[in-house]
Order: sequence, then structure tokens, then C-alpha cells
Amino acid sequence: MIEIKGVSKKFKDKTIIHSLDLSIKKGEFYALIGPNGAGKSTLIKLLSGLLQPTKGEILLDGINIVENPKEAKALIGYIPDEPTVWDGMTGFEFMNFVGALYNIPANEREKDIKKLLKIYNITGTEHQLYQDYSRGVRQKYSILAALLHNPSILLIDEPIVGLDPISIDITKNILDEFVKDGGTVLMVTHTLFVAQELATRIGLFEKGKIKIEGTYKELVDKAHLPAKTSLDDVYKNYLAK
Amino acid sequence: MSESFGLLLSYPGQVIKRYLAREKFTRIFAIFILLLIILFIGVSIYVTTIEGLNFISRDIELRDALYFYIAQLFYLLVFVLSFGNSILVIAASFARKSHQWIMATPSFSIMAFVNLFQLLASSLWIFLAVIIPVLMGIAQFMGVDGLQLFLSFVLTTALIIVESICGVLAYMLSVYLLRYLSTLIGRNIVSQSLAIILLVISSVLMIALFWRIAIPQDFVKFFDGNYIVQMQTMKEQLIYLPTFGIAQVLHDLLFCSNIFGTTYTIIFTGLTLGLLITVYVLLDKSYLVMWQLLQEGNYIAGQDNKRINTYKSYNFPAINAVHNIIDKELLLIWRDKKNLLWFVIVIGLWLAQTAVSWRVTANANNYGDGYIFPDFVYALILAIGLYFISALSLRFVFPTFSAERKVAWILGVAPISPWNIAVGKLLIYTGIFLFLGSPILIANFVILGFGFFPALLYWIVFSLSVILIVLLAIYLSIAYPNRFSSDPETLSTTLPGLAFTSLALGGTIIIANIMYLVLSNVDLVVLLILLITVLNLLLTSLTYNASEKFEYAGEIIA
Repeated sequence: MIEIKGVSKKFKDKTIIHSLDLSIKKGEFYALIGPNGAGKSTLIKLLSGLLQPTKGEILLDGINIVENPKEAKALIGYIPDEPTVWDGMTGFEFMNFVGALYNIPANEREKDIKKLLKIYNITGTEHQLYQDYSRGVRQKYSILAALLHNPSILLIDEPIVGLDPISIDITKNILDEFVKDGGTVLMVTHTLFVAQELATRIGLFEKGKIKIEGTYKELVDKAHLPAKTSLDDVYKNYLAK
Repeated sequence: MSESFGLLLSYPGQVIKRYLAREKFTRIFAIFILLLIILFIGVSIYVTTIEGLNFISRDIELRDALYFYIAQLFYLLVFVLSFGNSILVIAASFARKSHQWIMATPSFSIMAFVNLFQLLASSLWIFLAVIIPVLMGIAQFMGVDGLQLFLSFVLTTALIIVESICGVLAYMLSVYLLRYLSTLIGRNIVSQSLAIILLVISSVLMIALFWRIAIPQDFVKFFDGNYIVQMQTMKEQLIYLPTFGIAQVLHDLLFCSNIFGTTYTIIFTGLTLGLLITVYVLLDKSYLVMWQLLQEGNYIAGQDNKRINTYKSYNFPAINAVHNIIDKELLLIWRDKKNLLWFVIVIGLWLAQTAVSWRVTANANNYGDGYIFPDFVYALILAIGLYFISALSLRFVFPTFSAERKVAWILGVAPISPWNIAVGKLLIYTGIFLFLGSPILIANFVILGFGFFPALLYWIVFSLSVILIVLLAIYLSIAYPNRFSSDPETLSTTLPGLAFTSLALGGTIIIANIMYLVLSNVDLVVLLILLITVLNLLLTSLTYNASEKFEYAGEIIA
């Protein structure tokens, strides 16, 4: 469960997030959509502990990430918008290093990595250097690394950039299964069809605030649009207002 | 094309304008401090030059030969700095992914001009802080006129340009040689790292050759003979240096004020301009081909890549956070050929200095056993050692929290604190530097016949100073992380980078000087040891506090 209570984030004199309150329950898939510069990525960086809030508190499964960062971070799986990793590492070493950071014993890690590589059918690439991987392969490794320690919360910044259609389907299945198993997902994205298909709740984020939120159906209804209007069109409609 | 030139030339001005667009007062203050630091360094070098020459001039017998030696040494230093810099800049220009979009336009050849301009500008920066004060100091001391001083500036500029061009030509030759070898063996082996490794191997072979020819000369004879013998000995030792001839012109200009200096400066400057134009035309014609050659590599987008080299992946056996950071650092240093090359160059130079100690001792012993070197030689050995440690720290430790910029998410989201990272980096780099540095330092002391107890004191001071330098680099890195660049060369020219350089080098000189002054009094040495320990504890505390406030990411501009 994610609880955001009165969180603000300022960079010097510029406020990016304005007293935000948001609660995402266990087993819920929350998609945050919005224009560039709205503060979505900043919010996800606050939740993952990459940034510290200027005001307010963030609780992950009841643990305050500022007060108990190690315990809170152990619950998170984070998929970044840019899957950059040290060029001199192989894919296997990267996953192994991530596993070691989460205190997974070495013998368990190796078994888990082998199992995860099969999901995207990338077994055979793991002992080659990261610098030689394509964008898609890098993205797959960063998704798999986020799942390695069985997190209860997934924080995702653009999950499918650079993936081919089959890999997109696999990714959607992974996320779907994760939520069905009781996991909590917060996803920031511009690929709205993924949000439309997977999210149980969608929030439109603008200028550091949630402008409107609800299920896909609720958003369509509130905008007084025909039932099968795509989220793309619903989004444009709200922004035009 | 001319518009692109205009845009590129106006770029530095735009950067300054953008830099001053926000927090104007703070940033003007930062520039003011930077200029003060440069001025401080410049004035220190100017004063040191005059005082040094003043000291030398008291020895009437050796004076003239030493002036000649200074001119030679000065230009050799300029050569090493600008030649090395030009190779690094030109090699880095082919690695910059941000240049891809320019290379894809019809104006791609502009990059040849930009890179040549960039590498000349970056080589010429040492003018500001080092060359101008040294030349002005010599001119002031020798009382030469303004024209001679101006000509010495022209000569040095021409020398830097020629050396930078030589660096470019050497790199181009290396790439084309690899291309030729690729056609011979039927496999593409052209790569940046291999091109640089080839250059390093060639340089080492050339130094080894020079060493073999120059080393049989007699150093001590220099101190025994008259002016003619001294100059003869000096020339026999130095004639193999690449800057020998041109340094002789500088000597003629500033120390002898004769007509040869003026004439040769004019001829050399003309030749430099001709060479510059020729190399620009050459680089302009081959830049695209070299770019294409150096962009090729492995590309893995799927499973079927059996033909591509695989690596033996490391297992990260530990589950302790600090231990993992140490393992990761070791792995990445080992995998990055550029990093390894840095270590090899710095340690190679340090070993070369040790070989000189050995050679000088052997030479001195020919004139009677048990030659005792003056105390300042041992302090100098300590200063040289700490200087090399500072250079390695600037490259490897100072960028710690800036270099992790793009990969910060991996450590930032994991249950590991910035303090763990700082401790990991402190342990690994202190360990490596002491592991490599201690035997070299001890070897120097053994060669120079230093006693066991004073050598032990020097080693303790050296070890604590290594910790101090590494801690300083980590503290500045975590307190002032750079969100815009992770490139060690760029970071070293930022304000915290310059602060690190000034503090580390200043501290090195102070510690070595104190050791020279107090070595005969053990109590004072113990006091110095305590002082460095207190500084280490203070820096540890500052680093801990900075790690508590550290954020892995900066403002996202969208």
C-alpha cells in the first residue's frame, strides 16, 4: 500500500509537487498520466527514495521512507524511464548485483535470475556486456531486476519504451499477474493504451496536482464522452478544458 | 555550413549566458572565486619561478647549465600535458553519442573543426595558470625586453599547437593501422580502447628506447666539470627528448637573448601554421570514415548472439552492502580499459621516477660508497607519491556521486544508504592506492638509503595522507554532486574539482614540507600524524552529514 500525505517537493524556489494526498491500496494498479513537466517522474522519484520530500510524508506498507529508508526500499521494485546500467557489467552481473543489494543469498539469486530470463526469452544474452545491448534488451533487464527480490510495490516510469509488440504483451502479463497476487503498482506513462487496459484507477496529473481521477469508465463518464472513447481522447478532452 | 560554424562559435557565449540566467549573484561569485584560485596559482608559480631562479643564480658554477635544464624540463612538461590531452580529447570526440545527430546531417565535417578547436582550446588553458606566470617570472628575473617575452609566448603557443596536432596524427595513425590489421586478419579490431592501447605501447617502447640510450650517461660528471663539460653532459642526457630543439630556442630567447631565438621562433611559428592547416584538411577528409570505423561494435538485441564474445560473469558472493560496492568498483575498473590505462600511466610514471632514483644512486655510488642524499630528497619522494595519489583520486574518487548520475536509480532505490557507498569507495580506493603506492614509496627509500625508522614515519604520514586525499574527494563529491556531467575530465574543471586539485596539491606540499622541517624531532612528527588523523575524522564526519542530505536525482527539466 502507498500513502502520500501532504507531500510537496521544491527545487530551490520552484514547487514541482503541491501538497499531494494519494492512497493506493494493496492489489491496486494506479496509472498516473499527464503532460511533460507535470511532476510525474519527480513523484515517482520521491516514492522510490531517489529524492526527499520538502514537506509531508510517504508511507510504503506503513513504513515511512524518509525515517526508515532501508526497510521501505526493501519493499519496492523500481523500473526507471531510462534503463541505464554500468556499461562494464554483463546482464547477469547487473541482476546479481541488484539481488545482492537486496540481501538475496547467492545460490538463490542464480536460480531466480535463470527463471526470470526465460520470461522474455533472453537466456543466452546474460554473459554479454550491457554496453552491447539494444534499448529493448536493456529495458527487459531493468524490468526483471525490479522483480528479482519479490517486491510488494512496483514503481514504474514508462514500462514499455523500446519493447517489441510481443514483449509488450509479456510485460502487460507480468504486471497483471503482479497485481492479482496482491502487489501495488504505481505507473507513470504516456502510452495510454497500457493504462487503459491495466489500471484499476487513473489519475490525470498536471502542475504537481491530481486534476481528476477514477477508473477508465468513470473518466469517460465524467467527460460525457461515448462509452468506447479511447483514454487518448479522454486525456486530450480533459487537457483542453 | 557557414551558419553552423556561426552557431557553434557562438555556443560558448550562450553557455555563459545560460549559466548566468539563474542565481546570477551566486554564480558570479563562483566565477570570482574560480578566477581568484587561478590568480592564486598563477601568482604562486610566478613567485616560485623567480625565487627558484634566484636560488640557482647563487651557484655561479652550475647556474648556466641549470637554466638550460629548466628550459628543457619546462617544455617537456608542456609536451606531456598537451600531447596526452589531445589524444584524450580526440578519442572522446568519437565516443560522444550526442554528436550522432550532427554526424547524420550534411554538415558532418564541421565536427573536424569543432574537435580541433576544442582540443587546442583545452590544451591552451594551461597557459592561464602555468605558462604565463613561468615565462613572466623568467623574463622578470633575466630582465629581458617585452618583445622577447612576447616571442616566448608565441613560441610556446606554437609548441602546444604542434604537440596537439601530433597527438591527433598519432591517434589517426593508430586507428588506420588497426583498420589495416583488420583487413589482414579478416576481423574488425578497430576500437577506441585498442587505438589508445596501441599508442600507449608505442610510447612505452619509445621511452624504453630513450632510456637505454640516455641512461649510460654520467649524471655526477655534471657536478664536477666546467661550463663546457656541464653543457655537454646536459645535452647528451637530453638530446633524445622530443622538445630538445625547441626548448633550446626558448633558452636562447629568454636566457641568452640572442638572434637565434628570434629567428627560429619566426620560422617555427610559420611551420606550425602550415602544419595546422595541413592536419585540418587531413582530419576534415577522414573524420567521417574514422567516426564510422569507431562506431562499429557488438549489438545484442536477442538471443542468437553466440558469435559475440561472452564474459565470465562475476557472482557478487557477499550480501553486505559495503562489500558489494567494493566488488562492483573492482569489477568496473577491471572492465573499463580507459580506467586501467589511467592506472598503468600513473603507476608507470611513478615507477619511472623510482628507476631514476635507482639510476642516480648507482651513478653516485660510482664516486664512493655510502653517498648520503640531502633530507629534502626524501620529502620530495613523499610529495611526488602524494601528487600521484591526488591525480588518481581526481580521476577515480572525485566523480563518485556524479559519475553514478545515470545509474543512480540502481543504488538509490536499493536498501543501501549513500553512507554505505561512501564507505565502500573509501575502503576500495584507499586500499588500492596503499597497495600500489606503499611498495613504490618503500622501494624509493630503500634505493636512496633512507633509515628504517624515518622511513616508517614517512610511510605512516603517507598512508594517513592517502586517506585524507580520498576522504576529501568523497566529501566534495557527495556535498557538491554534479547533475549535468559524469565525465571525469569535465568534472575536474568544475569549481569543486578545482577546489579538490588546489587543496590536495596544496596539502601535499605542506605535509611534505613539514616532514622535511621536523623529521629530526620525533615529537613533532607524532604531532603531525595526530593533526592528519584529526583532519581525517573531521572529513569523515562532514561526509556522513552530507550523505544524510544526499539526493540521487536533481530537478527534471521537461
